[in-house]
Amino acid sequence: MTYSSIPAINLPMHSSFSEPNSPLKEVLGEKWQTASCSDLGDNYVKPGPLAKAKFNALRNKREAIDRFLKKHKKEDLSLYIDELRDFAISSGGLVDDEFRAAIWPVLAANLVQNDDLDDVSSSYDSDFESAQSDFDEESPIFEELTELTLDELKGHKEWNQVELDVHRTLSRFPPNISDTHRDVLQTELIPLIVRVLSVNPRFNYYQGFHDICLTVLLVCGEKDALPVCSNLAKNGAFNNYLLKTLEKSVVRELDLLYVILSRVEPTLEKVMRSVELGTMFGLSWPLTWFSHSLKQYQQIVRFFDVFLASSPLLPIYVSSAVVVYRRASILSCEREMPFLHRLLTEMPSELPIDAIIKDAVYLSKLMPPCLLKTNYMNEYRKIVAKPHRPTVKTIPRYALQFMFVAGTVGAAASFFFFKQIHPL
Amino acid sequence: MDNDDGFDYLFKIVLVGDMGVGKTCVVQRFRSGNFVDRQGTTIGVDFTMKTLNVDGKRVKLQIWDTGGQERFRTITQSYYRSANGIVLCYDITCKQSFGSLQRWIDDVSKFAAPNVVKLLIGTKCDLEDQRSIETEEAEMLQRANGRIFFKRKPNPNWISGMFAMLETSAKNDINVDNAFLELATLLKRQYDQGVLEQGATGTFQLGSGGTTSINSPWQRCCQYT
Repeated sequence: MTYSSIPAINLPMHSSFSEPNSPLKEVLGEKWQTASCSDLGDNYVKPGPLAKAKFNALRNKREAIDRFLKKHKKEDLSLYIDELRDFAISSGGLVDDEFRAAIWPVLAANLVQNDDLDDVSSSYDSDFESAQSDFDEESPIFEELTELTLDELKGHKEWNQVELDVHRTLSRFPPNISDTHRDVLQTELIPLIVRVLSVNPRFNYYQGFHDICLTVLLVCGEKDALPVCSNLAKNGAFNNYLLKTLEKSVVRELDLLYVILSRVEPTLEKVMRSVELGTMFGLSWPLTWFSHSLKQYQQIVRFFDVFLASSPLLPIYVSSAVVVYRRASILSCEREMPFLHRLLTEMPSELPIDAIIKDAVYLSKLMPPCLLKTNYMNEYRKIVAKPHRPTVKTIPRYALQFMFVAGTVGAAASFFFFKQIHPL
Repeated sequence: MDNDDGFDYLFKIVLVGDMGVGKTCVVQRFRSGNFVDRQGTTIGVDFTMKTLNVDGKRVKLQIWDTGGQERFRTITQSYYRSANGIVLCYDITCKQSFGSLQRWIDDVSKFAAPNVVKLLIGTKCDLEDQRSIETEEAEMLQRANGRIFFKRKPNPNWISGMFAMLETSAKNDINVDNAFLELATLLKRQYDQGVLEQGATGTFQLGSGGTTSINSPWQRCCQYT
């Protein structure tokens, strides 16, 4: 098959913001504006059988999605939600931003709900803010959200904060976006976020939600971004984060990371628990769907493909898979909380995204949320309750320092003291 | 990552203050000497460290840079507990960030150790034309909260409370290093005293007696500005 035989995409979409840095663009000319899988782009520079195979697989997938979208162009794509989810989760994801712009709105309108009725936090007291079940019916529909004037939006309690945060998103834009274009996007982003927050007057904006909206805006454009983000805020994992305190939502979800690790990587779990690492290193992962910590745009949109097509708890499984992937670094790191915290906070720029996604999906099948939050959580609590006997006894480094200093001073003091009594 | 394992002292510092005052920029300037305009938001807490030379000794600072948004406040409070020093930050061009300081001070007194040392810094002092908090105003706040001398514990001259106020600019590299150096110097000297007083017992405990004055050497480092 030659490249020219691949049909051009005729869907009415705006141009993509993916980085067309890979040599693919030159090879393929105008046909494909993007090469969304960074794996492919990098490996194709040095041809080899594996790179070719990867390239072919991705090309086939690209064609398959293209054929699929053309075939069902006139239909409601929601009817094919299962196929779309398969595309999004399987290797390579949705491949191109053109496809993403068409498919994300459908995925967001049909988000996977929690597979069990109660979410992580409903088993606890929910006096602070009510859970998503009592979501008010009078929440404005998208037309009403769009109709809100700029002045009305500026009167929203969060406008100023959102504006400040959006001005700080410089590093989140792919390098191929010009300064002028970025200014336009930033100007669009503020009202977009505030419109989404207007969906429910009880929504509490958190820093990081703007990262979500920015990613969607980059892919879907201003018009489609609003329904996508509103759906995510209303029905997705972010609903909890926007309605409840972070302790009662995301922090409790992150606690499940230890439950998962204790079953798949007990050694890692023990190391992390023994230094009282906590979960703060991964706070931004579920809150921003990794868009805050990943450095490459392609990796971010690839994760968004999967999260839009999966259970709201998948980011926690992905977090666990990321920690497992970094096993060697964790075990060779100094056994101290700050070092491990820093190690895990800094995401390596090269991550085998597809492998991590596969692992995460496997983990979610192996220990589905309903088991994880109940039986497995209880079992984990029992493990933690047992007195911990570290295999290697470690002494905190500052304790040694202080003992040394104190000991030296003590010896000196006694030396001088005895010298006073018995002058030599 | 700095792997210089050698140090004589290790202190944990936590930066707090409203979002957007520039805590991360201050830490970044101190750590690497760079200034990043429009730094991204801090979600949760970031960690970094740097070793300084104080009186010929290596003082390693572990710096925890907390996200300033209200919603992260309760999450980051657990980091105050083991802090030796707290840097309270406000933006000299933002009245609100100065007004919030009392809440941050209250939080610190609630969650940090009682003998924690506090330093007040005003950020963005390069933006003189936009200034809305006068230096004197901040100094008054510092004095009102400053220099609590513990009569018995840990030692009679232990300075807690807010020991100094500095106006800084991460952009123009004004006073950032000084701020951390002052904090490190004070901590080191206070701990020296604690160790000296209890040295003979062989364990590190903060002393409950002794007369060495901390004030005279201290004034020297205030002249950096």
